[in-house]
Amino acid sequence: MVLLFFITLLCLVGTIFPQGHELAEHGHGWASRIPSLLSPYDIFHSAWFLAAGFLLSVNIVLCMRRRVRLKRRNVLMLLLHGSILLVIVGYAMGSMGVDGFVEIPEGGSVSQVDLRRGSSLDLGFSVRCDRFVAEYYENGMPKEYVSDLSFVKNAQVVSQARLKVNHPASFEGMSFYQESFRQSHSAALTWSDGKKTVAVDAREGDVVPLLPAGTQARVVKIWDDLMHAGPAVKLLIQSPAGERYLWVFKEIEAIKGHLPDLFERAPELDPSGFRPYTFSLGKLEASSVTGIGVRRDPGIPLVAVGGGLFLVSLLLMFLAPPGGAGGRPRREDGLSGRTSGQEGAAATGRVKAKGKGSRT
Amino acid sequence: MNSGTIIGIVTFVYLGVFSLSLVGQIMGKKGLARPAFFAALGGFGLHTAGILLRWYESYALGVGHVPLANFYESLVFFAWATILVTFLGMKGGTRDTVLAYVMPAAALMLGYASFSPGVESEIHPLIPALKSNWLAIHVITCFLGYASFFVASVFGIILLRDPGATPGENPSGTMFYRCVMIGFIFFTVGILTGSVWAQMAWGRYWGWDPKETWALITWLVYGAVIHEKVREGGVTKRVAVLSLIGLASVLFTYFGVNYLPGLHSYL
Repeated sequence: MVLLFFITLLCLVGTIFPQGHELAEHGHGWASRIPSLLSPYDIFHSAWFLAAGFLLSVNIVLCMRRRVRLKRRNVLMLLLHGSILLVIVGYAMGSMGVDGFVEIPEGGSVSQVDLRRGSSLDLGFSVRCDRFVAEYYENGMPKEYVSDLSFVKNAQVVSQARLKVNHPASFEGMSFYQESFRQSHSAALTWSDGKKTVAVDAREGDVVPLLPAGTQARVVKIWDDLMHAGPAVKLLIQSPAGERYLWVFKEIEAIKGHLPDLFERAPELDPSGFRPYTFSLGKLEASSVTGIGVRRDPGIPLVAVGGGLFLVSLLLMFLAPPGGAGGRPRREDGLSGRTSGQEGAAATGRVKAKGKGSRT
Repeated sequence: MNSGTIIGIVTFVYLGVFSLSLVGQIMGKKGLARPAFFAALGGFGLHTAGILLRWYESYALGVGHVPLANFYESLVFFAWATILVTFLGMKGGTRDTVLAYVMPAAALMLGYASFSPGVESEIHPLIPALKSNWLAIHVITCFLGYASFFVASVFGIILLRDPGATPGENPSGTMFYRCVMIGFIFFTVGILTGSVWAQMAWGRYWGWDPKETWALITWLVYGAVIHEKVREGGVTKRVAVLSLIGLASVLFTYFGVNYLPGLHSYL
């Protein structure tokens, strides 16, 4: 009873504090994880919760053992509580699985996923997004998100799947879930150092190498319309001499026409502001990036069996007429006098007669 | 006449039944119980028709789905399920007594659904996450669970008000325990179907979303109710009080969680 309340209390605390934000910020060293194991911000993975789950399991086992020792062939009661044990063990096994997320641009493919606990995983095959569609109702509400995926192994498409919310796909033991999407732009970016001119197609996060080697432009953000001045990219130019941000507008000539002293007032808007380079921005190409959850949970069969077993034994226990479908005569414990044919009360009398064994 | 109007009318029918029961109780007029019961039955029929009509209306709008997809629809269904449990599970004087508790609650829920500016009563199409066959079965089982727990608390209150109640022999105790058990079974099915759905939609059967966590809390509290009843050998005051804590937990699982960030925000 006390234990039940303790777990309930932990759950309660867990919903009050925002969960799961702390863990990612901590290092991976064992020592640095101790505070997070006791922290209220990730309570469902904390030592408290693990201990409570373990204690509950021990308690269930002890109660079950007592029942066995008392030779009460109360199979249903054992099944009922044993199935909770299965669920707990199955849930614990989940931590040995894979829980990752991957973003694939339409037409692109990936073979590595970022795990939510940090680090990444090599899939051993690649996933290509052939097409992504976001459909909307007339009133603007989202209707369907669809990703057409190809699973590619050794340069061969082995399997294809249409991923939708509520319609996951699986390949080689991994399950894939439509989780999110976003619009992304690729920008036609041109740079020149006075001698050489290079045009590249860049996405957010891309790094464009410049000359000489060791100098590069990181594409921080792409806007299709920044402050009503049209398309723009924010670059972080990194060279051995230092680094600085540069905003490159597609319509920089027109903007400068309106504000002739623009570069004096805001040198970071000067496309030639980082000598010797000059940047210019061409067309933006909009495309979708689909966000896919990638998971494998080895505990699921156990949890499913546990959940099903719990339900079945619960139903049999409380809905079956005495001596009926339970398979065991329900009055063999000699309590028929008390039960008087009332559902549920059979269980009552039985346990009461047994003593104080039900302190769960 | 649309379903919204019908639900509005039903609200007043339930209020009327509540008034009749109240007058009957205060004036000691047992004769009022019968008209109150028939009015409640009529209101329930209309209520059912309102739900069915809303279902039909959603198809007429071309966005057909079971009317269990937003807060308004869930309130209407919660009220309906509570009365259903009362009608199916009880008869005679017990039923009339329970109706006196259930009717104002149902009227409150329907009134809140119909007249609160904060509750959107329009029919909307389903967002992708809700497009699943699990929607109906998950919502129906959860709310039948809630409804049974609610009726159990009514018996809990009746037991607490009756100082001479002896465990075991008391018919309210029997009804109390039955309602708790039925609720526990439905709620368990609700959680299990919910986790199957969560596995399909979000890729994890359990993610400690506030709604999930509070459902577990509620489940644990009712588990405690059952264990305590078994341990004490009957529905004692402790058990009844525990069930009221359970009801508070049910209400928080249903209403309160909406104020916490989570994935169940649409209900």
